[in-house]
Amino acid sequence: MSLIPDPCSLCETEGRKIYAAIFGGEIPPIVLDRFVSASKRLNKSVLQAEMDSYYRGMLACNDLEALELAARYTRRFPLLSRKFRLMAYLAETLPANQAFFVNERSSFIGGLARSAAGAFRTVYKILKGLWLARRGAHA
Amino acid sequence: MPDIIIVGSGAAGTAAALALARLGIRPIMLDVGHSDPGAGPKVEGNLYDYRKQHDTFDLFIGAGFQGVSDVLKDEVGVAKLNAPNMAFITQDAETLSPVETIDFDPIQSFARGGLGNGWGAGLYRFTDDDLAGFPLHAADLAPHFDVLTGEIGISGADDDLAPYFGATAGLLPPLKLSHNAEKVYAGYRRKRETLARRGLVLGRPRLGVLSVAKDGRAPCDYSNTEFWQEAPYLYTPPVTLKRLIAAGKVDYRPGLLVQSWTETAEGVTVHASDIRTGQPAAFTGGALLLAAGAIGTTKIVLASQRDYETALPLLENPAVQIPFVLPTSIGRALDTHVFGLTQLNLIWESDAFGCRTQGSFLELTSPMRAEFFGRFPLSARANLGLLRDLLPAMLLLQLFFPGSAQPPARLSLKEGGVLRIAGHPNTVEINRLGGLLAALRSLGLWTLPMLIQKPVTGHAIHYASTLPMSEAPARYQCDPTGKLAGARHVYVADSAGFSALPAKNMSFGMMANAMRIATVAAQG
Repeated sequence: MSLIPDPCSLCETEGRKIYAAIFGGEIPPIVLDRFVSASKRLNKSVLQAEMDSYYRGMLACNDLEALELAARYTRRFPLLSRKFRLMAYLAETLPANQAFFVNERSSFIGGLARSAAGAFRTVYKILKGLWLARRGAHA
Repeated sequence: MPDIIIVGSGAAGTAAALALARLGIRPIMLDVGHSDPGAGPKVEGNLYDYRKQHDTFDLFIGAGFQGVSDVLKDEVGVAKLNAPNMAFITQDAETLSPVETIDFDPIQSFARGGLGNGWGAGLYRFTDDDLAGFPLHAADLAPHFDVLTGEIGISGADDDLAPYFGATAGLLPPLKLSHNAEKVYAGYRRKRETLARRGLVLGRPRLGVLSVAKDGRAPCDYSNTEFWQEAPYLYTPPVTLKRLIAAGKVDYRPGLLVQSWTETAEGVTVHASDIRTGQPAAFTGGALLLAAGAIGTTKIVLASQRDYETALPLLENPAVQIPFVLPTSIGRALDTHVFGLTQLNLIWESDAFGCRTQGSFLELTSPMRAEFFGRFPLSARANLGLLRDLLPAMLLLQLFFPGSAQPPARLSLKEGGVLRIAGHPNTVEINRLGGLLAALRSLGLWTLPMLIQKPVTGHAIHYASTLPMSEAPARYQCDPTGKLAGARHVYVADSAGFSALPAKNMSFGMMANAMRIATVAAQG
């Protein structure tokens, strides 16, 4: 029996949190609708125990970017990474989101600087994610 | 002359029909023939201009979420075949030809034009080196290559790869290179002697992509749409098939799933069923050309023999995918007006693997950017930055090994019609790629071994050699004319009859061989 009454009812919250973790803003309503539909389909292929664990962790965490990164490297929450990938696909279909995906202005220095900043951000996030995952495991 | 029956409408079946049409023979072609290109929108103009104006959900993903089915099912698929407008290529394959598999993921098609609908249109002549082990020579295929070159419209160049890719007569000018490919190729031209000593040769690909207008078809417009929809400049077998049907040169019978044949003294009777009603149907002819794809053809052969025990060898090209970064291109604006598939080819004579390999450098402009989101190693938001800044600086090398580089899979048929394929995990040892990676570094191409991917066995979609040609054919082998041992009127016209599987993309060689076999069959 699930500890979460209806995981599908949480898909909207899940969508908002994942979108914010990747793109840092409010999820467009049409992307949210599509994410909820797709997420429900995805959940059907997941064991109940894994889904309970996933939703508990997802709801409790205030930095999903960090948790997802740590989970990817520790292989603890594969479902979270799948949901992140799903959100990336769905978000890319909106014209308003093209700037997130397509670089239209060349800047070698800017590109290097952003890539380096991304690497530093990753180091910080993985440390934080590992701490969050450890704290969650002990909770 | 009694009718000649062709089973299958893919590259081999269509080439066989073309050869017969040129002899004035109108074959019957039996085919399931799914042809609905789907309800997805069709892009007019450049993909990236379109993306700025339109919600691309219906183009990339579709109402049934088929474009993200790999994520939903947690599988590794072939992205192009999931696109809504391309879904017809593999439609119903799991029900029309169920397969139990171990370490092999077969891709089957029952579409009009077969898997050729989704190919990258790499078309390379087989040379005598490629035909080592075959009971035939390149000269036997040459006239058919010439005909096909005129029929298709193949772009390419007379460059360092010509000794490997065969005659250049009739080629159209090569396509425009992308910025990254141009940089790599310029570096190669400066260092070609040094690289040749390391076994590495680069050059322009041979592509069934029009660089100039031909036969009413427009040339490549560098729109990046070829990944998502039928593109008039990119040749697929249905281009020829539609022309032959319209001219009344093929009696095309769609909606039929061929199951087996029986032979008589005069000819052969093909047994099929209507895919909608299940009603049986029979067709009698003087010769049967099997061109249902290596897996489909082999299934028909085993079913005709009612053989539920024999496991036949099935070859596929092991492959690796190596993402390269050109550091000097980091931060560049995305090159949105390029041909989105193969830019350059390489041949690597590998001492480490003891064989010749062939690779294709692909631009990464056609797929969704999100396709790469989960493949970068950084945090989600940092990966998003890499999609913008690093992806435009990347080329993907798909490197293919000959089929002999790993043990063959085994294909058998169970009672009830289910196929069984027992394969092997991709056995390419990445640590033996060091010589190649070092040579490519000298061209400014950098990668990390941890980023190299080994596709699932079966995803190269080059299947062959279940019923190989031999000078002295045993059971389940063919003679040099493609005739199946023990049969009088049955020929194997597709890659099932290959005696070996070179690293080179086999499509063009298969088409020329199908023409050769059809010509022999027509002569009785």
